Amino acid sequence: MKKMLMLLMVFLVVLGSFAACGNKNEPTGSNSGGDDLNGGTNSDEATPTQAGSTEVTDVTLKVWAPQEEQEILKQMCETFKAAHPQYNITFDYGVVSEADAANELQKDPAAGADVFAFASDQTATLANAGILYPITLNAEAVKDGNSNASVQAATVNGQLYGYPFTPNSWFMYYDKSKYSEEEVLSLDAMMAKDLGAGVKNFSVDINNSWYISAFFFAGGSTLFGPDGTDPTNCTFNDANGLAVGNYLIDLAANPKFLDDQDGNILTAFVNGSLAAACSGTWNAEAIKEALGDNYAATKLPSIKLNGEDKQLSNFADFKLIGVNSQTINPIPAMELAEYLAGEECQKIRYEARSIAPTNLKLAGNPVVLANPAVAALSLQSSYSTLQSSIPQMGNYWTPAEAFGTEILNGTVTKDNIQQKLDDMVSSILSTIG
Amino acid sequence: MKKELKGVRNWFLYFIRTFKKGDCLTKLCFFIMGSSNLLRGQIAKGLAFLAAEIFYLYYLITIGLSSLAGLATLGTKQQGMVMDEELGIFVVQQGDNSMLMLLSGVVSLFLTALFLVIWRASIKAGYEAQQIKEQGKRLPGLLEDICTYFDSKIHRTLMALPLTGILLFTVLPLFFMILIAFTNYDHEHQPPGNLFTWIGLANFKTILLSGDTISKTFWPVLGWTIIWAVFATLLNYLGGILLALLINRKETKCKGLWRTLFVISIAIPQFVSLLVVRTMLNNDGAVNALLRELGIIADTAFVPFLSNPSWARITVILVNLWVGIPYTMLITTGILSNIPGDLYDSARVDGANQVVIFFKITMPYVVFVTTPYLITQFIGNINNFNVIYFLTGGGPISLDYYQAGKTDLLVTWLYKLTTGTKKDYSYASAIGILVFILSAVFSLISYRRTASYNREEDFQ
Repeated sequence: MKKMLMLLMVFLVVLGSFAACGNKNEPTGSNSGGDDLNGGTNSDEATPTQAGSTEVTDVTLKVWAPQEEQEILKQMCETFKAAHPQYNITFDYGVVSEADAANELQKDPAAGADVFAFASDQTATLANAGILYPITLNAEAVKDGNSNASVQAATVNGQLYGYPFTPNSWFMYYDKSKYSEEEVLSLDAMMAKDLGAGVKNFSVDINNSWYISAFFFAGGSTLFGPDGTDPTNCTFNDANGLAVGNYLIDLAANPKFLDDQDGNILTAFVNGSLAAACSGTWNAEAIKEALGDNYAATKLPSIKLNGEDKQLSNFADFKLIGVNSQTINPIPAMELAEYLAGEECQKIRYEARSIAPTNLKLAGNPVVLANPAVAALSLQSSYSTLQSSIPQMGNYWTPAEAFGTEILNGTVTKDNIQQKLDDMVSSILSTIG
Repeated sequence: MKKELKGVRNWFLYFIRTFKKGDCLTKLCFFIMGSSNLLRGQIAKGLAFLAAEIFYLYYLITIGLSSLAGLATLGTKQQGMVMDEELGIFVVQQGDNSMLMLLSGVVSLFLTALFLVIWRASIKAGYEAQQIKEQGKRLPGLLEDICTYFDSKIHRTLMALPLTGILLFTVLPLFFMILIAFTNYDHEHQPPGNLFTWIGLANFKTILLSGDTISKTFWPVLGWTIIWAVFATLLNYLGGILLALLINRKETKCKGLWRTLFVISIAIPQFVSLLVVRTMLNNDGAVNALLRELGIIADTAFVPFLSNPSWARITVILVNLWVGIPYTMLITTGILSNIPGDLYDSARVDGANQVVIFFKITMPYVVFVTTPYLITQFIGNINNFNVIYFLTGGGPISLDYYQAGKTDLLVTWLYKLTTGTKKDYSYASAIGILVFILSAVFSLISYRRTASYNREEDFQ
């Protein structure tokens, strides 16, 4: 009997403890990353601050920028803070390069930066993964203030997803003592010139899909349709593409041509065994040092296809500042991103690091144009082809690289080139399953 | 296998048996954990079990049940954007994040499994308490119980920490990643913007049977992986044995010096030597420059060591010898000095020459001892990430393949699938599982057939 009573008591105690649990039926903080699996939390969404309200709100912003930019980034952020007394901002800086930003964000968007710099070839991927915040504040001002191509690169399906701040593309560096300004207009003229034994006339990274596209675009081929939105269309294997392919085979086989790999152009420039090479502003300082007084840069040359001169047309890529869709302070984050990509900061970057601007006012500024590399980049940008921003673009890189590789190692010959071009195109247009 | 199955069945049958045998207190402790101990006087023990039950039920009610439900659906609500006219911005409508749901589902499965183990332990403790009482003995108090964990049960105390670590940091993540293979978590279904969901064995079908780009890549890459593993393993093994034999000969002078020389290549970190070799073998690298200087090839020509598919495949196998042979040499040196000298003496008396002695005495002995090592090496080479990644990066990439090159092994290919421009996690996970099956089946079959497994008592 006594036992039974005890039993009953224990039972009641247990029941009571459950009832206690039942009362406070609110989820505690996540302990396993399973935070709140039934829609948005209300506790997480701070009401966005009204622009122009008088009360000071506490805001924490995580900002990512590459290593080289950390110092000026801190200055710029402090300036922003001073200009916005309505926020009490705490900055949290992280070192992530533009190339790695997309990768880092995809690992765990919620833990990523609120504001970050990234390369425009990632725009579509990030927008499709729902990581980029659509930009609507002052969007018109951003679109009007920057070059049209840069705005296009930041736009997916008509919606702006980032703030452009610098072109990120390539052009030609050359040695003034070896070529005149006249000669560098045509690649065929350059290759025809005899510069003596052991000197290579021209170098480009053929087995790099980012570079090889310039030849196909010069020939008039298109990738994903004329406006880059059709995932089932690529004309790299038409008659124009065939002419380009043959041109590339001849170029690669030319003893005066050097394939750019593992930074060999810098060594070649230093010891005077190279006359011209294709690269971007990231190499400007090193090449300037290597060439000394003979340092010069210009737009890409034209190539002769079927008797016509065709201008090489590189991908118009840019670097953008984006805002994380998971941010809890969307408005301050957008304002900061806009400022960091604005005219003032583009000027600071140009002065500190020779980063070319996309801002229309700055790009036309004679001071900016005095820098050969920046001027060449601006000059080339009018001949660029916009890089497609559809997800299928992710499929382009590997097959194009493979095509370039096979041209260099002789797997592609004039006999099988049509087949190889067809293979490349079908790989670019393929879907897994 | 049968034994293991029986063990699992007994583990579960224990509950039923005990329930039949237990008195009413023991029966009660099936529902209220620890009650048997608590009411028989083992207060602390009983309360600990009760606390575990309360904690688990509390977890289940607050998070666990929704996590388990989420594991079944992997999310239903996609992230959306709604225009807020007043603020002039889109407001993000948080959707479900399939990846986090999968993760929390896996965690709740693990906690449930852990709870089962504790539940069984509590029943066992309750039944033991009943038995001790029935025998008329005194129940051990808290201190005595704790003392047993430093005496008769010390193995449990010592194993607790490593086991927790392995479960948390190896088994749980591994389980999570294996599950990804059965979802469509690829580049088109990236959270937080998109949901992914369970698709069963579809990924395996696509990879193995579809004839699509990815399966047209899988089979050739698998073929090369096996060719590579066979050549890399056998050549390293034979080379190592021959080198050890050469150094071990009576006629060889300064044996220590030779051994040291070859071991130096181990002393240099592998990736350093591989990267150096990579730059040396470039089309314009040191080796090609040397060949030009010597007039072996024309001034503008080059040998495509790493840029032509066939050359590159031969190159990686040869360079791998440089990295691998010294290890085998070290191992075999020890074994060779263990072979009884009288075997050789009697062979010579019988008039056997060096070749016969090598094949009849040395090789059988060495093979017998090193077969397990050979199998480990073979599996290691199937997954030999370093050599391929540092030397060629899988290149030269080919138009026939999906995101892969001619020297890519399955393991480097799945690395590219997860870290490249495409985030095809589900395919990569499926490939990882296939590689595991391949390695496991091969090693089990071959190991069970080795002489060292079947005739352990020989050569004592």
